[in-house]
Amino acid sequence: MGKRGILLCELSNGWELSSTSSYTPTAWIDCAQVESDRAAKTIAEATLAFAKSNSLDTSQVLLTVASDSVLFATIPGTNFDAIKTNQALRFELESLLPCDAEGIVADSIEAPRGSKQNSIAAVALETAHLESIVKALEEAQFKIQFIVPRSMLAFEQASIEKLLPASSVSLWVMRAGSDALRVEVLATDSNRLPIAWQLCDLDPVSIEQNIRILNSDSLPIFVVGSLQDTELLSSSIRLEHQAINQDLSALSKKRAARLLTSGEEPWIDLRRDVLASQDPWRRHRASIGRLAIAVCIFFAVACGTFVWRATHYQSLANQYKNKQEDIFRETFPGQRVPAAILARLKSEYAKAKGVRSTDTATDSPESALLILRKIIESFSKDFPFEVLDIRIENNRLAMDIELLTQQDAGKIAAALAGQGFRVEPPATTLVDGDRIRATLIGAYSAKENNLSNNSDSRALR
Amino acid sequence: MNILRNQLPIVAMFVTGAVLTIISWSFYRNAHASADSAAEVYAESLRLSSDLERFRNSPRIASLEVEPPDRIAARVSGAAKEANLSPLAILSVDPQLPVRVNRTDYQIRATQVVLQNTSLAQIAGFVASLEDASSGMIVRDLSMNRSTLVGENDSELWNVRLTLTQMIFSPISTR
Repeated sequence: MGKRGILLCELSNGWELSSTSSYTPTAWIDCAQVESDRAAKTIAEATLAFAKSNSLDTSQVLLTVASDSVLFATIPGTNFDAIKTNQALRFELESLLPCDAEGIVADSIEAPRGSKQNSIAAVALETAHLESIVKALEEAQFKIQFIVPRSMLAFEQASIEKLLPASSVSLWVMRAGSDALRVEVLATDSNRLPIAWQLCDLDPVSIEQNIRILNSDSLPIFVVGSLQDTELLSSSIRLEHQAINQDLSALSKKRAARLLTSGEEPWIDLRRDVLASQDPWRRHRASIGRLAIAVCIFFAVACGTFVWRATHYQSLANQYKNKQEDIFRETFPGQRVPAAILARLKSEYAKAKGVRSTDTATDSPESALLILRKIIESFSKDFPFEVLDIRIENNRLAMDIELLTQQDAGKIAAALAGQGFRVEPPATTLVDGDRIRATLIGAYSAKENNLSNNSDSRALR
Repeated sequence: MNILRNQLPIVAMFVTGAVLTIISWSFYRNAHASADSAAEVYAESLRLSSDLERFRNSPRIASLEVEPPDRIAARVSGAAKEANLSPLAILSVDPQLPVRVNRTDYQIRATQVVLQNTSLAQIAGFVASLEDASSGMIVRDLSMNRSTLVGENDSELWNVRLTLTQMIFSPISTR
C-alpha cells in the first residue's frame, strides 16, 4: 500500500492539515497568530513537520482553497472555441468578474464529450492569494498535484456517487472554520455539472432569495450536510426540500484520495500559470509519461529487432563460410583449410591459369614435330623431288627442295596449304642446268587449324 | 535546477535507450555487411573452384619450375635411348638461361641439341620422347640438313639442330 497524501485545506482563518486517510489526526495552523510575511513559510514548515510525524507522502499534496477565496462565473453563449485557451478564459472572466486577467488563475468545467453545452462554468482565483504559499511549499520539496476549491471536492464526489439527481438545486451546509457555518447553493445541469454556485450566510431570507434566482425552472431542492446542520437549516427555510445527511469532510477526502491515486483530473484545477511556475509540465506529465513509455518500447523493440536481425545475418555469414570451406575441401581434397580461403583459391587459380590456360598474354609455341608431320603428309608421290633441308623456327617453316619442274614447286606449296600452312609463293632457281631448286616459306598455327598438339604428335610416332 | 533534477532520470533513460539502439543498429549493420561480404566471397570461391576444375582438364602449356640441368641431360639421354640413337649421334646439348617472354608472366628456357646422321624416324622418336607437356617442354625449333652419309638401305640421314623449350609460369608479383 502506498503512502498517504497530504490535504492542505484553507479555512476562513487558517489552514487545516490532514491526510487522505481518515485515521490521520488533523492539525491546525492559525494564521491569525502569524505575521503575514511569515505565513507562507510557517505553513510550509508546519506541513513538513505534519508530513514527517504522520509518514505522509510529500509528493502527493492536494491544496484546497476556501469557497470565499474563489470567484465563480457562468459564461453564456455558444462561441466556446474562442475561449479554448486558458489565457482566453482569463480575459473572458475579466469582463464578468471583478478581477484582472493578469492577476488570476482560472479553470472551467468541461462538459462530457458529445453533450450539448449552453454555458461554461468557470472558477477564478487571485494568484496573490496563494502564490507565496505555493512557492514556500515547493521550496520545501512538496509536490502540489492540484489546487481545488474545497467545496468542489464534495460536489464532485456527490456527482460521482449520484447522491443528487441530475438538474437539481442543492444547499450545502459547510463549516468554513472551527465553528462558522456557511451555506453554498449549487445548481447542476443534466450532466450533474455545476451551472451556478453561490455562497450565502446562514440567513434564511438571503438563502431563499438566492434559490429563487437560481431555481427559475422549479428544480427539486436538497439540503446536504451533517444531521445536525441539515436539521438546523431545514427548520429555518420555508421552501419544499429534501435533506440528505452526509459527512462533507469525508466526502471531500474521498475525492481527494481518488484524485491523488487514480490520475483523474478534478473539475477545477487552479494549479496552473503562476501557481505552477516551478512545474509547468505538470499537467502534461501523464502524456509525457505515456510518450516516454512509448519511446522506451520503441527503443526496446528497435534494439531487439536489430539484435535479432544481426544474429540472423551472423548465422548466414557462418553458413557461407562453412560452404566456402566445403568448396575448398572438394577442390583440394586432403589439404588443411587455410584461414584465408579466397586468397588461396585466387593464388591457385592464377597458377592454374598460367600453367594450363591457352588464354594467356603470350602465344605458346607449337611443337616442331607437329609441323614436321604436316610437311611429310603434304609430300606427293606423283613426281620426284628431293628435300635438302627443313628449318622450323617458332611455327615458321623454310624448306629447300630440288625438283624437275617449276610446276612441281607450286604443287608442293598447294599441298602444304592443304595441310593448314600459310605458304608464300615458292621462289625457284635453275641449278646445274637440269634441276630446279625451290625455297618454300610458310607458317603454321595449330590454333587456327583447331588441332591438338598431342593427338598429332602421337599420330606421328 | 529543480525541474532539471526531476527530469534527469527520464533524460538518462532516453539517452541510454538511444545509445543502446545505436549500438544494436551498428551491430546489425556490421552483421549485414559481414553476411553480404561472406556471400560475395562464397560466390567468388565457387567461381574460382569451377574454373580450377575446368583448368584441370586442360593440357598444360607451362611448368611452374625450371628444370634443373641434370634433369635436362637425363631427359636427352633417355630420349636418345628411346629413339635408338647412338650416344655418338648427339653432338651437343646446350641449355640456356631462362629468359622472360616480353612483359608476360612467362619465361622460356631454351636448350639447343645438335644431332648428326640420324634417320627421320629417329628424329621423330627423339623429339617425341623429349617433349613433355606436363612440364611445359616442347621442341620449338627444328633445323634439318641432309647429311652426306646415307643409312642402311640407302636411307636418308640428317644433321639436326633442335631447340627444346620449356615454358615456365613465373609471375613477377602475385598481386
